[in-house]
Amino acid sequence: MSIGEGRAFRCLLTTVESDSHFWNLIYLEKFIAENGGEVRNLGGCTPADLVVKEVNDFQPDLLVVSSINGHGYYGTSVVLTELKRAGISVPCVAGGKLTTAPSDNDRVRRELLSQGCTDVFLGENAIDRFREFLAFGVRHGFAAWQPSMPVVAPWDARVASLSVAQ
Amino acid sequence: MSGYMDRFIADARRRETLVVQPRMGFGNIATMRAGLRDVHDLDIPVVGTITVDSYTRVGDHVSSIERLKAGEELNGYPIVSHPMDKTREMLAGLYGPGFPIQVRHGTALPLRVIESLVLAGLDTTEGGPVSYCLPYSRLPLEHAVSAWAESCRYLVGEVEHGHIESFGGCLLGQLCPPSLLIAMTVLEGLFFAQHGVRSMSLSYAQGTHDDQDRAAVRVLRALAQEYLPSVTWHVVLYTYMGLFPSTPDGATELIRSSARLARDTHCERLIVKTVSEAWQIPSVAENLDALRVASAAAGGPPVVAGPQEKEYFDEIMEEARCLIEEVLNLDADVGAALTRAFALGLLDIPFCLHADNQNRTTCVLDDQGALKWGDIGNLPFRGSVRQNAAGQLQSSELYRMLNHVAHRYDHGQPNREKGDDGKF
Repeated sequence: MSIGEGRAFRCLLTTVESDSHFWNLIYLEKFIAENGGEVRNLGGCTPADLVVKEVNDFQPDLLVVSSINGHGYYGTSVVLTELKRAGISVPCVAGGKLTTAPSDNDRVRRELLSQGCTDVFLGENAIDRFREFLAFGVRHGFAAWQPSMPVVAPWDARVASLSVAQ
Repeated sequence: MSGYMDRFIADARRRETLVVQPRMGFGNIATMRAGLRDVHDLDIPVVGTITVDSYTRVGDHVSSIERLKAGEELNGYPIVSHPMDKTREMLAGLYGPGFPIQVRHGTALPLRVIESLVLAGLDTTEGGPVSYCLPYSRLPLEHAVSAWAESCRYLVGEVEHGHIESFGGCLLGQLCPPSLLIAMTVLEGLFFAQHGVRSMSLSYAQGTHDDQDRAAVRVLRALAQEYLPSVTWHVVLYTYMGLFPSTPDGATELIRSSARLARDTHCERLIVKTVSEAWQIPSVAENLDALRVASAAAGGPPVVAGPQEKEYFDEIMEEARCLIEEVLNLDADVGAALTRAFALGLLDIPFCLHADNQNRTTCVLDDQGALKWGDIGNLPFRGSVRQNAAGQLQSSELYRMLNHVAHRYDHGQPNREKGDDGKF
């Protein structure tokens, strides 16, 4: 489905299997709807195979993975792997608190981008950047989005080149 | 005779001292022991905590160990997956009459976790068929009810002094009117008692308004006395469970206010948050600081009842009693009654996305900053209970309510009901 000016996009909203938090999902459901989305909210503790099933069923223009329990990095990787295994290509963004420490944010964003995320929204201005992303997607389609590349700390540069090489 | 937890609580009660407890769990065995040891060594009355990790909560006993081997930190202790003799070694010399330890887990199907804690020599845990299912799991409520019934019977069959705390006073952690929290923890207490548990604690999470909170805890104590006369119980208060202030001063003041609330309402135990709560999983040092701050704040003189407290007390009592009575009238089996009540919408947790929750109720903040029902859905209220339906909530309005307490404390206005925007 192409997305034109003013037309609703379909958004599947999920979290990862180990994450039982609801407030981020309740808030995002409203937020995405207000920014033009038709949202299907899968609720807490969502297994990756359910996400795959729902993507097939709902055919969303955008998949949003939100997690705040500190294990979202791993859970999002599992979702991306399962989507690839099922041969599904859908723009997918992740955000929230994806590890147990905010100092991991740059590394986590870099790695999830390399695994196929369209963008990853972490830290202070995450919701503003997500709003810009949704506005862009409504105009141009989510797949056309180019994420700004994360700054690589010098001590991480070798790891980064390795993960890109993979 | 009673178990470590009950004796420890009774002793502190006699000395009119608040027992404090962290929310703490680490995946690594040595780290977990070091954390427990540091808490144990504090010179204030404190209960130790082993919080299990999120993989264990959903019954995944493999990923936790794999993640640890991959060098990642877990957000809790995988009590089912670690070898039992290692857990017993971890506890040796720490757990005892002077240092009860509670296992906190969040599982809707708790039998494996409870078996593991019993094998480790422990007897105290928390949760409940509703409070650990609807907010935490995708499992049908009916399954959680039967699993919790079996687990209660297992616990009291295996150990002499099994103690369970109902988490019903927290539910989604914020934006829930006090009457539902109180009804839920009392009903879970009745459920535990029906399955043989003789020692329990009932919970309440600090809300958004001091007078309303004090009234709520007093209602809880009155109803517990009335409905649970033949079991040993105490009340555990949770420092505000919603979005936490991000400034050290704001967070510290909120922790202090929860300790004062506990003191003023004779709560025996306080589960304490930390100043880094808004950012990350707290370190042991941050937990120790928070426990000291809370314990010290509880030492001051009690505050007399505020002007609105009586009004809040009457309102909360009417609603909570109505909910409890309606549920108990559905079935002599409390578990069956709970399941049916949710199916009928007689119990309905605001904003809870679980498939067995009707999700027709909402909660709003009134112009005093107190928690009120927005939409009451099919809740069985009659008479004076008013509905403050706000129509469709916008995300910004929801965020403002979720952030209300954090905002107030971050801006140094803990006792001011009106915020910068003039609305509150």
